[in-house]
Amino acid sequence: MNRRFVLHYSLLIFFLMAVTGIAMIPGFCSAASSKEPLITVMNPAITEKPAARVNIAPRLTTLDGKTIYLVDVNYEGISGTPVMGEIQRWFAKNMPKVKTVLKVKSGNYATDDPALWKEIKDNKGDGVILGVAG
Amino acid sequence: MALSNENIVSFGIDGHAKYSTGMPLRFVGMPYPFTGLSEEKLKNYLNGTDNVTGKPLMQAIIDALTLPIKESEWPGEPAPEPRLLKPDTEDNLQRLFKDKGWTDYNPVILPTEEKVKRMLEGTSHAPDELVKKEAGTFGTQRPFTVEKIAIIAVMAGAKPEYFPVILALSSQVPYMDSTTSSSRMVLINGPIREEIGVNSGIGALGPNAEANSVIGRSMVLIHKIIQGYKEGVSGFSSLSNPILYNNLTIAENEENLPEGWKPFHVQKGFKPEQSTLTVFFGWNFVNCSGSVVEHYAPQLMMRDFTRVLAATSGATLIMDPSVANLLMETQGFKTKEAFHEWLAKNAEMPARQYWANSIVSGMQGPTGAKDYKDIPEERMVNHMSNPKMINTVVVGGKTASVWFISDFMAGMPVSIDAWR
Repeated sequence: MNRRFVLHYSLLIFFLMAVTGIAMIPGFCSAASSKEPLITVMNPAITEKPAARVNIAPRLTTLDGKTIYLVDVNYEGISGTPVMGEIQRWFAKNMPKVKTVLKVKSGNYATDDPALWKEIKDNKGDGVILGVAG
Repeated sequence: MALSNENIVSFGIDGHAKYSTGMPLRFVGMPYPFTGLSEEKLKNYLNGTDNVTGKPLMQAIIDALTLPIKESEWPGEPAPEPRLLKPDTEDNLQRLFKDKGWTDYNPVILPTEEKVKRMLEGTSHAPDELVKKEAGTFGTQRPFTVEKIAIIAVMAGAKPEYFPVILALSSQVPYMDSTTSSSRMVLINGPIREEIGVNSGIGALGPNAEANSVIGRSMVLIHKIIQGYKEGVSGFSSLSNPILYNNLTIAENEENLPEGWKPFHVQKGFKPEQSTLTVFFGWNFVNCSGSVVEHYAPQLMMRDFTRVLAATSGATLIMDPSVANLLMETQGFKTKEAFHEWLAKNAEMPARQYWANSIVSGMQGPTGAKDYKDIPEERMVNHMSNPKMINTVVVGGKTASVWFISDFMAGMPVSIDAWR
């Protein structure tokens, strides 16, 4: 076998390998061989806009010596859940320097309670844990 | 495939706080739901972990009060959506639309520019006119235009003559949802019913008319695309409700109302020649399971059936014209209002049953009767005592004296004519 034959044979093998590799590229075969047209459609999606930033109150450096209101939103309408009461007991046992005030919000869980918010402000409440809903 | 409810607190943080109030409120999550569980189990939740951060629950609460706000707690500005999607094959686009949550999992009509342009001919409103900004759940800002609704109308398979109805429907977002099995109804009144063929006669509640089917489907797509509802991500209805497949889209059979019984929209102050759309929302939907019999007046059956309704202190009765005629001619209810007053006085259920419903006790209890907790459990209470909360819609083909009773609350009718 002469050198020219080996060269041509090698080139042929290389060409076949190259074509096979290209054909394995995704889309190449379908684009090349498929007659299915491409369609341009309009986008139904909406761009959601974040609301303007509103800062929450600065965080407390410690809860010791602070007054934390536990506001039960009365989600089930049965004068509150045991969860908020248990949170109060937890603080009394584990963090006794935290003063907690348990309140059940008036109205149902969706109604406002300006009187309670005023009370918290007037009594200089330092923080509020509001819950529990689902 | 089971969708998860684990994201419900994340939705509260991202969806509500950042996109509605703009405040990065700190939420702590405990196992859900907590309604109906024992006191002992609820107390044990404090010994568990916060399902948002994975920290011990009380530590998560303390951290929420004490750790400073990080920049990462503010949402980034999302990239604006392009007007056109990248060109692709029909099959790939159908798959894309499904994967994006833009469909009801049936194939859609792909919204080419040509099809959307044709749809826009159904209204005099400009394509770039803003329909509403606060379209998301909790009023989050998801502004959308007339053109966006035209895209959705095409997807649903609508004709341009349906477009004013679909625009009116879109103006009512955000539609109410619930973790319980709530659903909706769409009622159409006025001349547009005949113009576009909205069925109010035989088979009206079933898949038997193109306009009913397509308009109801549009609501599904509007809910998902415009409002952004995605089960397990921004919605958490544990069972959901099969009515939501078509949203019970019907027209009132105004031509077969008994004398003295006014169409729904006329009762609400519109003129008969005006065309309106009303969205209802509720939970219960009860089949009368058989038709009227001679010895048991329909109002008596309806009174008894209302004992299964508890959620909204109201009702919407959907009745065949033959039932309406019986009520008027043989039972003497000269108007819908007269019938509603009778039901408000006579429909009742045991107090125990009324307050056992968590929607009722949660919404009505704290604002209801002063002594509601002291009412003996077996005492019968009028659970729909306000006749203005009761509605009657007459629809059907007069082949059987049948009805459905629901606890659906009616929104205010809105003008379809305004969107022509």
